[in-house]
Amino acid sequence: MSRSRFTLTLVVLAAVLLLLAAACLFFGSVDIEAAEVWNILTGHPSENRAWNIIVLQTRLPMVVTATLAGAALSVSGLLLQTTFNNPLAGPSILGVSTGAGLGVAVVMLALGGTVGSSVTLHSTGSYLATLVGALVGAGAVLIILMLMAQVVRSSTMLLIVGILVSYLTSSIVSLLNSIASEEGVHSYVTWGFGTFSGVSTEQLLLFSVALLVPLCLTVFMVKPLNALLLGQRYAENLGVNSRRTRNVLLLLTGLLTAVVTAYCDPIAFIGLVVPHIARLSLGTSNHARLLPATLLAGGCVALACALVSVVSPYGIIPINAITPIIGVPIIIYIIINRRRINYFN
Amino acid sequence: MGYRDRCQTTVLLKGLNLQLRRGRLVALLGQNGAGKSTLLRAVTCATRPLAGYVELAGVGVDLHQLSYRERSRLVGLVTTERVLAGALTVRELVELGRQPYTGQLGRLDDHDHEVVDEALESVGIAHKREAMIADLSDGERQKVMIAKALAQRTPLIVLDEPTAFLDVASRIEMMTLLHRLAHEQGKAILLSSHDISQSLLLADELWVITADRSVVAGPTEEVVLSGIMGHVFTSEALAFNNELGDYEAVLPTAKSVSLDCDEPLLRRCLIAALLRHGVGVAPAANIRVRAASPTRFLVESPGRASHEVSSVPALLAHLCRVDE
Repeated sequence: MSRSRFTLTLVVLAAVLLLLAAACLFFGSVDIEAAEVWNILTGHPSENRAWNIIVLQTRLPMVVTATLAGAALSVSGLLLQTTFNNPLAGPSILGVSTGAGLGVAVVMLALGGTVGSSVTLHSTGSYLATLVGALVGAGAVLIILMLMAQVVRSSTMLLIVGILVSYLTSSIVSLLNSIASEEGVHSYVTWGFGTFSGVSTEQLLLFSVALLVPLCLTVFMVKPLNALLLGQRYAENLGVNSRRTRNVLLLLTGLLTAVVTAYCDPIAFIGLVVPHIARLSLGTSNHARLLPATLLAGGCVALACALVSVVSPYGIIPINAITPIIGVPIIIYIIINRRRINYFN
Repeated sequence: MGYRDRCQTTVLLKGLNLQLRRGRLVALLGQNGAGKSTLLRAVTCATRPLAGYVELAGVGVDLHQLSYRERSRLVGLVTTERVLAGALTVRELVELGRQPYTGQLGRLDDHDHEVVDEALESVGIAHKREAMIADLSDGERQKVMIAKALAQRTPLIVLDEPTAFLDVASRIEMMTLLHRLAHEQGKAILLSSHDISQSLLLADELWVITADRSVVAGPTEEVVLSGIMGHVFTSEALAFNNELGDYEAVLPTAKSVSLDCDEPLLRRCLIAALLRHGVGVAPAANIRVRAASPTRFLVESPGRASHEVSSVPALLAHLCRVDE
C-alpha cells in the first residue's frame, strides 16, 4: 500500500474529526450563537451563565468522551478481530461490553443504587468501584471466550457463543434490576441506551487517563498483532509468545471496553465496524497503519453519533439507536463483498 | 545438526535418531496419519515430544528449552495454513520474517531491508513485491512464505507439505527452488510431501515413515534401493513401481503378456491400456506383443499364427480372444 494513501487517509480522518468536534461544540439542543461559543471556549465567559455551563460542562466533556470512547471501542474491536482471527468480532457482539455492564450493575446494586443511575453517584470511590466492576465483568466474559475458543475452533461458532453470552449477561442485568427496586424499572429502561454525556467535567480526567494509557500501550502490540495475521503457528515461529501476547491483548481490550462501558453503557457496533472502515479506506491489514486510522475513525464515528443524538429536534436520541444505522450497512456491504475484499483472502 | 526425538501422540514414533545437515534438502514421506506433521511440529517446537530432544549444532541445547525469540532465529517455518494476510503486500509479509531481529516497535533498519530484498530475489517473487497477497496464486503465496522464512535467516527451514495445493508445474518449480536454496545458501531444509516422484528426484535425503511406524532415513538412492518404498502404505491397492519411481494402482489381471517395445512413451501407454483391461505385463508370459509403432502391433501366441493389428483397441479386442 502506498504511503501517500496512508497519509491522505490520516489527514482526511483528522480533518473530519476536528470538524465533527467543532460541530458538536457549536450545535446542540440549545441554540447558542457561534461567536458566543467561541468566546466561551477561548476563555471569555458569556453573560448568559447557562451557556457557559452548557458549552464547558456539557458539550466539551461530551466531545472528549465521544472521541476517546469511540477510539477505545474501535481499537478494542481491532485487537479482538486479530486475536480471534475473526473479522466479525467486536466488544459488543462478543458480549464484552454487556459483561462490563453486568459488572457495573452488580456494583451499583451493592452500593444501593439502581442500574443506570451512575450519574447520581458522586464520590470518586464509587466511580472506582464501578470501574473495577466493569473491568471484572469484561474480564470474566473474555476469559469465557478464551476458554470457548479452545473448544470451538470455528470462528462463526465463537461469534454465536459471544452473542449468547451477551444475551445471558443482559438478562442477568435485568433480573438484578427487577429484584432490586420498584423505581429501578425506570432506570433499567434507560440503561443500555448508550450516552456520551455521562462523564462530568470532574470525572473527565480519570476517564481520559484510564483510556489513554491502554491506548498508548497498544503501540507495543503492533508487531505481535502483525505476526498473528499469519495465525498462531507462524506467529510463534516469528518469536511471538502467543499465550502471553493474547493475554496482554485481552487485558487491553477488557480495560478499554470496561472503562467506556462504565461511563457510557454498552455501546454497540462501533467496535465492530470502525476497524473495517479503517481497513477498507487504507486497503491494508498492517496494524502499524491500521491502528492510527482506527483511532481517528473511531473518534469520528462516535462524534457523528453524538452530534446526531443532540441535534435532533425531538430530544436526545440514544447512541445505540444511531450506531446500527451506521454499522449495519457497512457490515452487510462487507459480507456481500467479502470475496472481493483483500483482507478476507 | 543433530536431531533426536521420541515423538508420541496417539500415534507412536519411537526411538528416532535423525540428523539434518546444512546444504541438504530432506523429504519426509509417509502416508496420512503416519506422524509426518507431528514430527515436524516437534522439530519446530510447536509441540513438545513426549521424550527426547531437538538439538542444533553450535547451540548445544534442546531447542525446546529456548525462548520463542531465540528459536525464531534458528528454525523457519512454512505451512499450508491459509493465512488471513490478503491485505498485506508481498514485501510487508516478507518483512514479518525480520521480527526475530527487530525491537519492540518492529522497525526495520537498512540491513533488514537488504535481507528482505535478497529473500524476495531468491524465490523469484521480487517483481511482485508491491502486489497484495490476495492477488497471488497459491504457488506465489507459497514462495512468499518461503521468502519470509529466508528473511528469518535461520540455518534450518521446515516446510509442512509445501506443494499440497499446487499444480504440477508449481510443484516442480517449488521443489527445484527448495533444492537450489539448500545447495546455494547452505540451508538445512526439511519438508514433508506426498509428491513422491519429485522428492525422489530432488531430495538429497529421505526420511520415510513406513506403514509399521518405523522411520528409515538416509541418502535418497540408499533409501530407495533398500526397497523400503514398498512398505510405506498399508493399502494393498497400490505398489511402488521401480521403473516409474512412483506409486501405481494395483489392478486385477486375468492374463499376462510380454511386451516388446523400444519407444518408452508408447511402452508406458500400452502397459497402462493393457492393465486397465485386465492384462498384466510379464517378461516370461506366453503371449508376446511386439509394438513397432502406435499403428502396428504383432501378437504371437503359442500354437497360433502371429496376428497383426493396427490400433490399440483392436489389440485389446484381439487379446481378449486369445488364450494363454
